[in-house]
Amino acid sequence: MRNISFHLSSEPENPQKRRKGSLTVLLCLTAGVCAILQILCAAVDIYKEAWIFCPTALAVCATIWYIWFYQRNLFPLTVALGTVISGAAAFVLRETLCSQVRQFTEYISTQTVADQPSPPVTETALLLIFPLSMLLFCLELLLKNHILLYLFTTTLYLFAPFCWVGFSFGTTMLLLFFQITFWVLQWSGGIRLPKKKDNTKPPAVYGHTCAKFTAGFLLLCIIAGLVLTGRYSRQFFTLGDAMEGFFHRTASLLSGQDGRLVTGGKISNGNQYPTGTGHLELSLSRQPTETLYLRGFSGGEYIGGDWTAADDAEILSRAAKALGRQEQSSITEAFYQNMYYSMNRYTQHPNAPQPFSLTIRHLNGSYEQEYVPYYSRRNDDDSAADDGYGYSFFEQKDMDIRRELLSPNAEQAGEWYRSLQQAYLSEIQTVYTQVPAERIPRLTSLAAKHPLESLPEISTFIHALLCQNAVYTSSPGVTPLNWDIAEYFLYVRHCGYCQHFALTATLLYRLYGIPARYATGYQVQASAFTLQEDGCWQAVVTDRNAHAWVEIFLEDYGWTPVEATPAADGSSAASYPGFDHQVYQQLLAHWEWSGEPSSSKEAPILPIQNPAAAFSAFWDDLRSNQKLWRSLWLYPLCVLLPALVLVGCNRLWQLKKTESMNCRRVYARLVEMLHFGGLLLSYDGSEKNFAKLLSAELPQLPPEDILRMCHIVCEAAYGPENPSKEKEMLVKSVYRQASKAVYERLNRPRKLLFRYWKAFL
Amino acid sequence: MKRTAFFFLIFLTFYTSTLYYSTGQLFFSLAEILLAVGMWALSLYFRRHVKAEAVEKSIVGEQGRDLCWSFRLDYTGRLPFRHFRLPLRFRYRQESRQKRKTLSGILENKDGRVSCYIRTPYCGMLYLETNRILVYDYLGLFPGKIPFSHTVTATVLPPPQILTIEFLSPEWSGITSGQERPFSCSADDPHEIRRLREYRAGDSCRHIHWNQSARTDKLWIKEFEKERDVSISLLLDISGSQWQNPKYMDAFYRLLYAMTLGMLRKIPVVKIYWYTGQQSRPTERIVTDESQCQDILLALYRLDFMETAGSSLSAPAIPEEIGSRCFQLDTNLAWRLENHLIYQFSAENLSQEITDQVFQL
Repeated sequence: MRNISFHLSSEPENPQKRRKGSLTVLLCLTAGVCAILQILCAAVDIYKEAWIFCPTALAVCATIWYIWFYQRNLFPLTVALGTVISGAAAFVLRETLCSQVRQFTEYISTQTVADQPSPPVTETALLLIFPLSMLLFCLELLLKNHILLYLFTTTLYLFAPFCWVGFSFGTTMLLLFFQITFWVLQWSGGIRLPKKKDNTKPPAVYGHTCAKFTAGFLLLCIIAGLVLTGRYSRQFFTLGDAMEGFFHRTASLLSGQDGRLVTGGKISNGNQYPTGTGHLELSLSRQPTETLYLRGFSGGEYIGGDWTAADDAEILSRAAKALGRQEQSSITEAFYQNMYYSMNRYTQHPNAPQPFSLTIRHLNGSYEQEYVPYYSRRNDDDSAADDGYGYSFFEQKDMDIRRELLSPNAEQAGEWYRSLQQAYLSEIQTVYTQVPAERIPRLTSLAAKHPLESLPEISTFIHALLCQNAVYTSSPGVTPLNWDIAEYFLYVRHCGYCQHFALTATLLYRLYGIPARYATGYQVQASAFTLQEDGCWQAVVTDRNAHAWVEIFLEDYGWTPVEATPAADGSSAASYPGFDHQVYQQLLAHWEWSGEPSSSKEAPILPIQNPAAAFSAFWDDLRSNQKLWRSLWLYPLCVLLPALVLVGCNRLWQLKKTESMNCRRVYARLVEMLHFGGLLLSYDGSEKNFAKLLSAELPQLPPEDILRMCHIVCEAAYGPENPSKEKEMLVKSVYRQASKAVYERLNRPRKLLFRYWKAFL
Repeated sequence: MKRTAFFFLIFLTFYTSTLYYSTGQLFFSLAEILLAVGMWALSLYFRRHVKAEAVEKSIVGEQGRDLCWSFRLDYTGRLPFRHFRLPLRFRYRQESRQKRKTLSGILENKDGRVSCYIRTPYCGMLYLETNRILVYDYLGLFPGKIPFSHTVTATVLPPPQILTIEFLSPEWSGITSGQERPFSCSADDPHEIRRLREYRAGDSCRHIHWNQSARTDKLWIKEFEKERDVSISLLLDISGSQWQNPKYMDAFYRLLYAMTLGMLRKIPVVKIYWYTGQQSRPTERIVTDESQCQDILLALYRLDFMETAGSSLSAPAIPEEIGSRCFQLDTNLAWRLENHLIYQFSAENLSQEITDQVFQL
């Protein structure tokens, strides 16, 4: 069915006045090309190459802009020429380009390679300028579709931090200018080009005014944005965290994820937003004196942000095999599970503290995962209970295995304990000291630069490193995809929570050859337990108690938890049998600790301390970049040279065109030239007394020639035949004489315009 | 949609900036938020400084050509104002449901005159209504509403096509001369003098031919030829079910217009009749030229659907006063003469049928 069509229009004020190419359009186009190039360059950290990109982009855009608006018929030729030159350059440099693209991709995807130099992508970026300029030009000026480019550039900008690409303020400003000004130009009808055979379209004068006004206002917004970012960025980030926390918690509560128990060894690469939902209910036979660690997971192999579960069964099997008891591997495993608890129990003094009896009840009713206290033995009578399970365990301070106190009939068990421990220790020396060095090159290099041997030294180094280079926060932000979490935490963000501290400490222990495991579960403070009416001590464990720590293997203790997360005051909370805080302080004083990683070369591009400082750093960098300042003269050169060539070509073309014109067109051009020179402004050449007036204005010209010229033109216009060649030549001769006479009367700037812009002479 | 996308992207940029602690992105999002606030203020400014004023209430045009409806947007602000939108509701007279259309416009001049060009596919009466104009900031994010309650009646006439009719049958000889006549010819003097005779007692003084009497000294009386009916009648049946369908009514109007013009080329007067509502006598209109034909169409356009709905669904009987030689035309485009079908037109090919067909009666 046919529909009614509507069209709104307001008649233009001055339809004759046609605005051609606006400088606003040229600037917007150049800003867009430069912004996209800068974003790509920022990915490989080659800001300093901007000195060559920006002038080239400006020159290319200016050429396209000029040809399109002022020499439309040369446009296809220009595009073809540009394509041929770019194609030829791409062909000649094909191997370089392929290599650069490959290096660029590798650099983006594997940021973790320490001290890797930025790949040289200058040639590729330069060759991108022409197609990029043409793309922007076609979309904005031919198809008049800004939304595609707006979405593309915003997406590029939006997802850059995912690959840890930080931008300079200049890039952001260029992008804003391009996006907003072109938007206004498109929306206000600022970009209107006359169709070939349609001269009825109105000029776009007001659209450009709107764009200029908006650009001015945008500048104010940019200044205000800079001030706000500089002064209140912390508050804004806190606000963002609060928002994300609200969404995260709400989503967790609605989806029921808040009740999920802590499992697995996946390191979170985002913020932590506990909801306070209860996970476990613990019941102790008496009041504890130490923090209780309930282990749910121990990490074996680290595979970039994720730990595989430790396979003790395999290790114990190998240990049994080493001891010549491979057929008893299941017995060995069962013995090992309770070994330290049992040995401590059997070698205790009569008046030594009794083990704690712990009952664990999962509040969500699911018992797929069990949580085990250290130095413990599972109570077999609770194995089938759906309402919780029980463990008997000793606190760390109560662990005191003295094999000499073993009763004679338990001598064999003591011997078996000793040999199994040695065999296990021997096995884990290779298994739990493995690290993917290629993923954590900076940590590997750090350990190599600080060779340490004894456990106290190593522990001191690791905990001091963590305490002095990172602070605890539950919202450290998201780790970029191409960074390892541990290195990003220690070298870039300098803040994180238990998972990040434990991960980094575990990797460092392993790098120093100390068998260590990443453990997750719950940490319950002794003060969390309250006395119940039935005499037991109870505590409800929530997701706020979810925790990660390091396990190191100590003789006569087995796997022992080591707290890697600093205390609330920022000091080390590490504590394990043999760890002496006095030694720790002495070692620190001895090394004159300087907190190396934070002052290392890998300073963050995305600043975390003070954005104003980042801006001043950017400015300092700009000022110190002598290469950039020295190359500033290239900017006008790059614009002037093509401009001069274009103007020269334009003049020659116009003069040639005038030579091939017929006498009527030459006469019209003569009138146009007179008007340009400010002569006979109110005459259009058709007046009877025009020849007389022209003779009076230009006395250098013979009056009879002028009169004859007018007659010839009249004859050409109204006569039955075209004038002869001689008559045509006479008109042209008068035109040339007149142009010289008018030229002499002009001032210098108008002379330049007369000769090179209008090409009358 | 655009505003939603814009703010969603700002939110996403702000959110990403807080996730990665990226000050560059924070600065980007803050600058855009400030810009959006500025644009909102700008739309408020425009709302205060723009006033809309109607110029005309009714427009007449031809189907297939642009109808121009003008109004004024008086802008008193200093900042350049450009973009506005005009939400329109429109319907043909026959239609009960209004359609909606929002037109976008750009103000190019300072006198504020804006023309709305409407091209309608059907002829008939079209009502256009608007109650506000939306003025926009430079990014088109925030509309400022300006009250502008206005109703325009657009009368769309059919294009001037003429149906070719030849009255060849001897029965038409009394009313046609066989010569084609212009539409402007009218029956100026239907009482033609047949002969002069001598005065008889009882003759009216009014009929004395004074000039002849003066010349011959006898009283001569003008004897007139008996008055002849030189008109043709066309009874319209507008009771059909197609009344609510603008497409069929468009064909009906075009055919009526072409047929009437075609008849007027041969016959000086065409009398058009139609029944409305429960009327016992038909409405009669005499058409002698094109403008009267357009008047008939206007009268038909203004007919209320309820009026026609009340009339009989069966074809109306030919009233006695019309006489026996009466053409009939119904909304199903059936053309009859004394209830005998002459031709069944089709709405789809009507233009071609009007142009190509020659009806010899």
